[in-house]
Amino acid sequence: MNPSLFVGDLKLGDSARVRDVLGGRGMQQRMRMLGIRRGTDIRVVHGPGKRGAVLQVGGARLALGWGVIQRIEVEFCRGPIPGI
Amino acid sequence: MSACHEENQKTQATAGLPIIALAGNPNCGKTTLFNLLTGTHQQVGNWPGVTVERRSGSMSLDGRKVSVVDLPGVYSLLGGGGEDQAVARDYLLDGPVDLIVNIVDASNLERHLTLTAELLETGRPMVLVVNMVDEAEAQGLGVLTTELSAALGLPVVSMVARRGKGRGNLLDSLTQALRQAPHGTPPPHGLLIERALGVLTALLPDSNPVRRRFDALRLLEGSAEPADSGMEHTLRQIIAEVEDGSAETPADLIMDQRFGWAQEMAATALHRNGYTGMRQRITDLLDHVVLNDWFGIPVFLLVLYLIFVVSFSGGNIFLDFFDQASAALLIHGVGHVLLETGLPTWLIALVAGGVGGGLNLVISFIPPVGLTFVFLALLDDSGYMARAAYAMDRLMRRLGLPGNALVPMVIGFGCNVPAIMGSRIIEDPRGRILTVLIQPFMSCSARLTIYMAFAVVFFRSNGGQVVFALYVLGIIVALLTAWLLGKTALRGEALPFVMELPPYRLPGIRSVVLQSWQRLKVFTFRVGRVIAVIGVVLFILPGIGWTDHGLRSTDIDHSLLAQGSRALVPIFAPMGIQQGNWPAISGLIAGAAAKEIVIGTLNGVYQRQNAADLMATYRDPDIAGQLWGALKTIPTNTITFITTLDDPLGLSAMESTASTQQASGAESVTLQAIATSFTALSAFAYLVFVLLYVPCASTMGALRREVGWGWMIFSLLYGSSLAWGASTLIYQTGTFAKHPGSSGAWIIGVLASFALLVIGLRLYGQRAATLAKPSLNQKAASA
Repeated sequence: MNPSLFVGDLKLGDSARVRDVLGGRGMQQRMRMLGIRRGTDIRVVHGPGKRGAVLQVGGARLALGWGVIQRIEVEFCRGPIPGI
Repeated sequence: MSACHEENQKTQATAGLPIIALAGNPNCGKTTLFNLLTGTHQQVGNWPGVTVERRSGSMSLDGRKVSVVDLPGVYSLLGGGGEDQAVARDYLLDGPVDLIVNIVDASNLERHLTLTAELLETGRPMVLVVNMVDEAEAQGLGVLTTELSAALGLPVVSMVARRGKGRGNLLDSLTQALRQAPHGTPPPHGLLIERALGVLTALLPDSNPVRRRFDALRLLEGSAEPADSGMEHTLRQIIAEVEDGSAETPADLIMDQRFGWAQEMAATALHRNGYTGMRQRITDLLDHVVLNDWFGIPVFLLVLYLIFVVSFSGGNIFLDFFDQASAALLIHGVGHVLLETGLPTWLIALVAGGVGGGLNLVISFIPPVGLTFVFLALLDDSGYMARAAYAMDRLMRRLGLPGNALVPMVIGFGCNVPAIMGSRIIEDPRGRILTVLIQPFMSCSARLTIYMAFAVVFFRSNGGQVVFALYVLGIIVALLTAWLLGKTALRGEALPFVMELPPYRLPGIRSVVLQSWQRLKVFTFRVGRVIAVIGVVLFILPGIGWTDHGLRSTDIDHSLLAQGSRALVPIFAPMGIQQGNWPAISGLIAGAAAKEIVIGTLNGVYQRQNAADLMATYRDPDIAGQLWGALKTIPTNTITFITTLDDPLGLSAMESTASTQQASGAESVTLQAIATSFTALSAFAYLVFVLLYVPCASTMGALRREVGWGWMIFSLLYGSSLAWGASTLIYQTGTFAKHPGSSGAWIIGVLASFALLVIGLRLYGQRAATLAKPSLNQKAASA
């Protein structure tokens, strides 16, 4: 089993698939309403840095603070994912 | 103006009409569509900008009048988001809606369709608008409306609302839908979940069935707490039953179903065309600059700077025209007509001088204020604001504020009222209260008028710097206030930043014009009304006074206004107001109603003190000549604007008394009086006081609505004491050499009081924390 990888561990331009969203009910719901949940494909379009990161999720760009991106566990995907 | 009154007007105007509600995620173009449908037939209750309240308007469909309701953006009917989203949710679940128009963004269809799934579940009639198909095309995606319509069982219209494309089709669909209500097919939950929902809804309090079903769904999804232990027990049982039957939690079952459905529908509706990637590359490039760690903040400051520069100096082109033309018509014209009718002179002076003069003041500020609104609307439309908020997030967070607090702050430069309302976009209550409380320190367009009148007299060579310093001082006080309250009375951390960055868009002319026109309309009417009333009061107060024989008509220096203001002079003496300068205090008192009228009051009083024979000017006015003169100022000012483009704040005008005196709306008599009543130092102290003290009446009303009486009163006292303390510090430090003893005492006194305030706030914070703890423990125990 790979060690846990979070959005903050990715690099600019990396694509990944969300494995899990950690945190309480509020956090889960906030992420869900923005379309981030288990199985979602994401791409890092800015950062990640101390401020956080901007992710491409479907047709949307989401700016997420550092406290948020470190709770999104991901699986690294080699190469671009079509559609995002 | 009272919210209740507006509410009544709304219900009266739309009673009995069919209601169409616009629903969708934030930034999907609801307000654009609302404007497209209703045009100017809108009841403007609150300021447009970020939609945080519902607004209604009307349109005609098939010869029948229909009411259209615009709602704040909402991601889910099941909870989440700030107050603004709750407003939309409550209306969609409980409101008297006859037809929902669900707007989805074609370029992000799958996520937007999850809200559609929830809306279908309300069972209300619905039409789906797939908006921004142009942006989807730029991503290489085409929309198949017929296929989607068949799958959903709903009428589907594809649109580009910003360009009015698809309007005809939408109108046809709406007409049809009101005749025969279309109910789509919601995603099926399966037998297990439906049974669980049935048990739960039966136990829930007897509200409307739609609301009950959603409350039950929230319980099953785990996004709400059960109300009591009985309910909790039942819920646990139901969850266990579902898990036994399906080997999955009900939350997973429901959500997998909903998201799977949205994915399937999106796949049905979209087909991939050629993909150029051009748009994506432009977005990436712009984001690279705008969000850059180093450039992000400077870029934002530059954008702000440009907005104000262009608004002020561009506004100056038309300012003289508006000022002189309205003076010619409303003061001299009206005065002349009234004189002809043979009315008594006091009544003529009251109407022409008091009301007309007051309106003249408001009208002269229309150009710069209107331009500010245009630029704020452009900024709003462009997709940049969310990015600026992200760029500023780290800085703001250090001060205890969430980054998106920036959005209302920028709106606050126009007017504090919409800024306070706009704070609803902030999710956590603590961050929202902080954001609301700092808004009164953002220097609104009304305060500029006062700065300009004083700058021309005292700071002629460096007026620009003085005015800019006041703006910056406002921002600093706002941020420090947030920091101070965050460390004492409102302790806690800002929620981590989460915000959707809308795509960059070229702003639509139509929507920008409409939006700024509405803001200007609200500004003009609200301020005009206050000023007209104050004009009358100011006419009466300086004319009567308390004498040995009771209340009698007196000259201005023995009037009630003078007596009252003089009584207050000792309070303001430490900040440099002399005994004879009581009009300055009258100005401050009137300014508590609306800051625009500080200079208006000074104007009125100083003028009466140095009374000229106004009636003579009414008797024989040269209105045509004055209008012609007013018109001629436009080309002259245009040339000035072009030649002073290198003086961005347009404040070199301060070097010429004539132009700034017109710009400030104050007559030269007033400026001379200001010059003799103040020193440069006391004038600056006075301006600092004006910047920081009591927000205007409308702002106080907004504060009360948004954070309650307690915080409103706090804001009032805090702002006024801070204003007094700051201006006293400035004046006493400046005159320290003259009287070190008393100055030192004042300075120490002010600093000591501030220390006391900090201690008080700390104690309040500790008490609030201990009060909050037991209730948390109780909750934990009951859980």
